[in-house]
Amino acid sequence: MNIVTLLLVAAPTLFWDQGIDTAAALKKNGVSTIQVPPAVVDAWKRAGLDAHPLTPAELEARIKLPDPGIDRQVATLSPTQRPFVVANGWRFLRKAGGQFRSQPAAGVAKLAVAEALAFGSDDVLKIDPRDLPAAGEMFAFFRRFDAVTLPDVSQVGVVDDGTESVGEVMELLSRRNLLFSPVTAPRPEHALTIKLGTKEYPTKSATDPSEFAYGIRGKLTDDKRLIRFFGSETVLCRLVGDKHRARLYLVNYSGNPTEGLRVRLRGDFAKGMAHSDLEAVARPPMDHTSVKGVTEFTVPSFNMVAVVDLQ
Amino acid sequence: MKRRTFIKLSGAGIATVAAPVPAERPPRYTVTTKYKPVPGLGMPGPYPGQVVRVSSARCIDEAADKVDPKVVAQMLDRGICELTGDSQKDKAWRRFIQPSDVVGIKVNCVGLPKVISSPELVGEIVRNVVAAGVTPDRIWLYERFSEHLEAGNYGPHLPAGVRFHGAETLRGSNSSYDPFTYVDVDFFGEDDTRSNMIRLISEKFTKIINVATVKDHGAAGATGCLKNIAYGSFSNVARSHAGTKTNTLSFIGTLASVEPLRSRVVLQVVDGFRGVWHGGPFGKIKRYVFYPKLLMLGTDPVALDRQIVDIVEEKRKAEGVISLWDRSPGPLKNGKNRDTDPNANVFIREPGHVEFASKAGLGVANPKRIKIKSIVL
Repeated sequence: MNIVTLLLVAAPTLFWDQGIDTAAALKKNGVSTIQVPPAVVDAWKRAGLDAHPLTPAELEARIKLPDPGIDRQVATLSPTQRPFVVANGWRFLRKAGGQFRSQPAAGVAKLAVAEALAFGSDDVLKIDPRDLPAAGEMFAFFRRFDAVTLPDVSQVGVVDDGTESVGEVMELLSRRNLLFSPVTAPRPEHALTIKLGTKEYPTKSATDPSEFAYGIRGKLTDDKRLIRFFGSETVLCRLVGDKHRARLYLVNYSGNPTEGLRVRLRGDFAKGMAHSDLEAVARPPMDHTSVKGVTEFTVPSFNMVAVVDLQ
Repeated sequence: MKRRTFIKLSGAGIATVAAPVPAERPPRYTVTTKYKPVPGLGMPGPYPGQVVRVSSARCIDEAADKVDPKVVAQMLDRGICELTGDSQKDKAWRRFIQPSDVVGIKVNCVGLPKVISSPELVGEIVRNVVAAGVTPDRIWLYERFSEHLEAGNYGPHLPAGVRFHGAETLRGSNSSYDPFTYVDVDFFGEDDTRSNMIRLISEKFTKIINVATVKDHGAAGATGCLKNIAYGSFSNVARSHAGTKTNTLSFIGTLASVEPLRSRVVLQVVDGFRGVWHGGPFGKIKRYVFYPKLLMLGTDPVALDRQIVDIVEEKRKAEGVISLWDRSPGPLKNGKNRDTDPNANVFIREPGHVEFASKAGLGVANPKRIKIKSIVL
């Protein structure tokens, strides 16, 4: 089993330290698998839950994730007009097969679950119990379509030396939906490979990671970028696929619904089906075109997450 | 990216448009549209370089800030006839509007609450369009933001059946824009580089009447016909403003040039009953509202906007404040005080966008070549 597959079979779960009397609430909200303190595993199983033990030390040993969302930089004197998106997708990609933990603040659980599911990450989330219905909705949304085992698609390789600088580069590439993979050496499928500390990419060039990512965008050119979005600066994506099909996960971090997101994707995809968390049934994307190796379509609306299958 | 004069068109079946030649190098614009120019009507239309100015001291009661619809109707009737040379207003209107048309009326509501396209004027325009044979359900008032259109409260002034369209019910929504008609440009490194035309314009309207206002604009210098129809018909345009330097100089004319918008805007009506001499495009501060008490008509948005620049500039001069053309750094350092200090600038104003639009073929900017017919009622 390779790393990619490991990522895809993993799934986020809730760490639940509430009383057994909350079993009905969990079931009502479609949550059947939970992580619990070892001492209460049997009790939870008797209550009908698929409970797995997780000690405090095991939980602590996992990589802590920040809350996803928008950092409006209100304390900054000259904030950028573009909101700063706090997202964890790049962390999931960087530590493929990694074990993560989250403790999202009240109201954030749904988005945290969404991005963990989109990236198929092994994330244990300790949510505010009041967010159980919202988290349950997101788990339910992802059950509406089949899981796929397709590899991540990227066009930039990043040689990861484990430093914070490389992490920032990955984060800002992700922020611009410049799809990357951590690599140890250049791969033929990548248009370019970034290795900080080289003549082409001196370490100091990444001092401003946003500007660095903009430079990478310029090297790729907008025309040749694997994927682009129009109509939002706060939707980040994960793309998986092979020669025959692709799946696009869209996560909207803005806190407001996204309407009419236009997607431009390199590749010829004749048809698609979009699942939106605002619509009960899937339907084909709007204004779908596929011309000369470029596919475009519009996702009508979604609140926090949409998943588009393309063939 | 090296920035240079560049406009190209992409996509299947797409026609070439003349590239504007600006005084300074504009960003690299790429226009995508399947629509071709239609000769005859449009911008600058059949009356290039012509402006009809109708003034009346009675058109608005300054103390009550109330527009007189009867006087407005007289001004509009006289103005349209003077523009076309017809003695009958019905004949004049039918030069622009046919019964089979679907008519979009672009109002300007960003100057709420004090300076918007007056409902009394818009109502009179609609009545004339109906008289030309267009049924009310084929007339649409449109604006980018629904909340602005609603706050404009046009309904009571219109015949029943007239439709309303705010392109963005939810700010930032992209769903009412045409994904196949857009201008692509990277101003400041933004990822979303497209500005798409409102879909009703490309797919529904056959004619558009532009009802502009007379306002100062912190970025564009002045905002009249060109900016109302350009920034008011496309998505994602505020991105042209960042820092103190904006791209309004070239973006306004570029957007207004995009087909089919350019060919479908058949008439320009400037509501100069009220105006804003500072703090625009917003109209929230009474101190900066003034009363030119005039109505202007034409088909050439450049010639009309040339008048608007002069009107606002003259008012500012009379108030003893800095010129619209002032590009010095001092007022910019004071930008945060714009609402209280008319000598403060939030951006470098770009009234030269009118001349840029002229070079893009949208009309006549040279005052010596503009023919003004002035009427006082």
